[in-house]
Amino acid sequence: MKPTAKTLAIGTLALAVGQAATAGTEPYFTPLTQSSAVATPNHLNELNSPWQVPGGIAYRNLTSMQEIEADVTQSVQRVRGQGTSATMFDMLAFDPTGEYIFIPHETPIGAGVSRYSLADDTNTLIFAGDQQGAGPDGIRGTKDDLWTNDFGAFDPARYTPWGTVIAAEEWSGLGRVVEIMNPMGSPNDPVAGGSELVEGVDWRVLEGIAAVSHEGINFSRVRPNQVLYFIDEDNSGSIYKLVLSKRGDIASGGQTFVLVGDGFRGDAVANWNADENSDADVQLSRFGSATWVPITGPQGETLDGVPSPFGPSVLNCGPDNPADPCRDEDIRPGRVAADAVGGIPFGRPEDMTIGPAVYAGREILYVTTTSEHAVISIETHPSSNKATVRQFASRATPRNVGFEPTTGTLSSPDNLAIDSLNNVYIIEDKPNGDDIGGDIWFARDLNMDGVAESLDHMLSIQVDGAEATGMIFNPRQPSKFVVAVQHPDSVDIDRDRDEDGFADFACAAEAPHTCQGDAIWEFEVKGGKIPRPDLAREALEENWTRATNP
Amino acid sequence: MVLALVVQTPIATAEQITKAYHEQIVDHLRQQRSVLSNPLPELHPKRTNFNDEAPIPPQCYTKTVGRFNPCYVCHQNGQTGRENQMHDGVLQLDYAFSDVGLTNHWRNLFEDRSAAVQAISDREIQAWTAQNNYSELAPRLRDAGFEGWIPDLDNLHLGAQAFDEHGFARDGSHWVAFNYKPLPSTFWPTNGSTDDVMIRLAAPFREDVQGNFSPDVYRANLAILEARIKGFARISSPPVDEGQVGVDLNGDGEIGVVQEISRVDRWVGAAADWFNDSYLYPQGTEFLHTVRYVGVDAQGKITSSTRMKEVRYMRKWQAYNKSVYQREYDLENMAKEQGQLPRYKLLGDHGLDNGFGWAVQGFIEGVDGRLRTLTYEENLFCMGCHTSIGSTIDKTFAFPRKVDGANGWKYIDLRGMPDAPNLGERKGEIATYLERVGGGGEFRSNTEMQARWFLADGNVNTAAIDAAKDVYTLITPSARRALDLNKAYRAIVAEQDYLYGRDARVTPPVNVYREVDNETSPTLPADKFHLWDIRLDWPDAAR
Repeated sequence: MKPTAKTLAIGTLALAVGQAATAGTEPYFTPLTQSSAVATPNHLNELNSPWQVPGGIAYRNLTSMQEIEADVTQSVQRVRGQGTSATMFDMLAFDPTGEYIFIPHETPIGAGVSRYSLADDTNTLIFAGDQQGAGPDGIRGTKDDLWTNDFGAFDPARYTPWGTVIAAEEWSGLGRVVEIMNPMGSPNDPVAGGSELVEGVDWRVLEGIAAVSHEGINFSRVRPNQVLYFIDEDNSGSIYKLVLSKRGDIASGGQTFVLVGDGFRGDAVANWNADENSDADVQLSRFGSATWVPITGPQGETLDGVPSPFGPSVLNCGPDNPADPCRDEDIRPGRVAADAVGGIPFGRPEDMTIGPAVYAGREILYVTTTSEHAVISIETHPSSNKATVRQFASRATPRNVGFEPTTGTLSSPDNLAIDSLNNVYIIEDKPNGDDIGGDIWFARDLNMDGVAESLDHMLSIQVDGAEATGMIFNPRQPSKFVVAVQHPDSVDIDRDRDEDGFADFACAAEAPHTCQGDAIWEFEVKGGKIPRPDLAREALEENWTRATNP
Repeated sequence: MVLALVVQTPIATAEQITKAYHEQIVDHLRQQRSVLSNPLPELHPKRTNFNDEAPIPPQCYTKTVGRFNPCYVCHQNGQTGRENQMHDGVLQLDYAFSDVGLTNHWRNLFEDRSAAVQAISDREIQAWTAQNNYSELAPRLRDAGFEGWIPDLDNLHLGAQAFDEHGFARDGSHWVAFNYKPLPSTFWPTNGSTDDVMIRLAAPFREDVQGNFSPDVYRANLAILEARIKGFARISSPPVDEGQVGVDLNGDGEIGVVQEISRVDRWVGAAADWFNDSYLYPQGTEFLHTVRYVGVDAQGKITSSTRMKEVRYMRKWQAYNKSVYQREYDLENMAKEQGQLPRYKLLGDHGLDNGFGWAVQGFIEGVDGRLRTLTYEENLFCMGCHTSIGSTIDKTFAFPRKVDGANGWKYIDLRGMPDAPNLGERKGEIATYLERVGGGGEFRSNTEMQARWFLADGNVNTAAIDAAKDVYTLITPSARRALDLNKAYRAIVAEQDYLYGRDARVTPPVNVYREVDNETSPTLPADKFHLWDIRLDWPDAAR
């Protein structure tokens, strides 16, 4: 196989841009100058000080698998036999009061959602699949994949404008979005199909949202009751927009659009870096003016020439043909529909965050393109069919401008966060098995052109085998944000295993202090440098005035 | 190469403070005599690597020159129902190394050990390989406070004598030896090593529903496992008393002593409710693999040596279903695409986790020939073959290649073993391999194999192969070659530089790259691609 990653210089080109609405500030910290060295597995620092932080930022552990499972009054999802994938805290969501954090569990089967209370320091599992997985054959992407009461790999959780919580399937399950109707409930039996939760009453699958490998999914900040943006995490992944047919009624669905590049000259079906898309000029043609092209009718109806984006996944090869070198991975219908209309292929777009509209009702979607080691920005208006795509940050973006340089590089950007001043934060999918820590970058865009002038090295995590994820600012305490630590080696705590006669490798009995497992950490930026949203609004407008009237 | 300052000791010499970590480690190994090898404990071991692509074995740097394909043994497309979704058959035809992997780090391949071999007498090497370096390993590990698996099979250095007629360890440890055909061709004795493999299932698979050890339950579960790993609907077994098991195993409606089992979709005994699926081992399965010198007995016949080069151990400490395996392959693909190098979770003394639930650890000869723990990088060498190649079944080689059924439960014995073809093929596996590879090993440098099984024009001597009576005849070396290869390996032991390669070679092979260019190095045409099944089609007489 030829190497697929292509070195492209697109990040170095100044893309022609119009007036973008993004805003931001200088970094409020002195950036780091190197990534953290990863500690030895299950090092004591995992419990006490897993983060390298600049001065002026304090942090503390909010909760962890160790803490939750030690308390019989708390509950959480742990799928037996899934090793470090057993709990999988992923993209967190706050409720509007900032009192509760919703934790999606990205487990292969039995995906669920927990609710953590900051006030009580307790966690409650509020919804979970029944762990029946991918049918009797246990193989994903085959005909027996019914997933009737089970779900796989909930990557995002989001609090909806109408007070429910949605979670969505990424690489497992069927690419569905599930709505939990009463996220403040505490069911005794949180399992779908169990004795308590009723489908259609307590939870429902949102059939009107295209089935893709969900990760980034956000309600518009301009029209939150009407527009939902989402992403298909794939190497030919596209960006989608759903305009609800009835405001506030997500169950009824609406019209789905896919972002199509006006000047794109490559192959939308192929991967972003496939031979037919790999030339630099073809890569560049993905940027600039773009159009939201419908893949359904206004009520979700199928359009001529476009396959339905809804329903179960299909196989991409003949599983009975051993000579067929294709993979038995499942293809989401939403992806097929996007390909049909020429959706721009990005390199594994993952998370998304949305900047506030500060002029003309526009908003900025920031999207990580993980395989490209980059972040794009999409400036659009929720009611317009037009958009502008820019390379917001990449490995070509200068780092620590005006400060001591850093040896860290942007690597596998996965998640995004945004603060009340509209500063965007980029969270890497690292270190996993690497010995160099995973970083969080502050993207500086002072001139508001939708292209970051600097990536400022903000945080670095040293937990072996883990990745940071789910960074999100507290809506009521904007100087605080939380980050989850996912699948560290120490998550392999399985107290039952000892009863089966198996040694617990990762969490030695004599060193229980290291057995933290998945965890959530809270950070606080000291000194009032990130103001409340109402004050931030003033600062944003001041910035905007300054930028537009130099 | 990482050039790093050493700050951990105030008495470091000037030479030490300029040495790379991996060089410091080799220095340390040449001097230390401990059973534990942890030279730079304060550093994350990944930082000490010489070769971050150690999972790529030396054989992957073979010059195929557009004609010879030894790659098919490892790189295969997936098969229906298998857990293995690596789908790397394309690597038979193309190179796809990472930037680090483009350089062949196995520099020991290029070292001429003729002088070292000459300096060791036959008597010396015979005395060396006849020593027992196994039995003291367990007490040494215990004394050192080692927390990983400690060898618990008595008298394994004696080989077959440690097991009864059905392969069960005589010491009651419940290890079971099985007879398998060595994988082409590194594990052919003619290429420098002999080996054996034993399996042990978790305690519930050996116990009846009351929790008491039951030989019948254990035999039945081993047979069920063999059928599941091979994808068979039925399998023969040493005698099993269905009355002791409490299950009609052959489906004849009667309870009696049976030697064939057709009810293979569920375990029996205390493990009856444990997860059972095709091509997957259950949680707690252990493999013990010893790699040895090529023994030469008083009559000049080839045997296994008493001395062990390595003791390798795998335990399935986590059991995942096939969908989790699929995800692991997805992640592997993504990581490779982003240019990330192979990485494995470190489980402390328990070795490395391959991501599919197997913990892999091992021991290797120290400078004094006593077995010691592997360093991180030495352990890393194990991981490529036991993680990310397409031909294995649940990351294993030997068990899927076991002689089918009852006759395969005994200590490995190549004498009398037929050259069974792979499933789906007609010609014997070894004969086929020689044809496809154009030599008796990946590097086509085994002159003895060349002389025995090839004609002067380079074609395989089919008459000679047809006349060979068994696998022993086909793949064991002459006594002379065996002694020389043993000496060559002994020289590597003295150097302790396994991180540069551990292949027993006297002179450097010709057909190997020092550097590969993914774009320009000659590759194979599509007609040299071979679909291949690691399983074997054993003739009835062998079963």
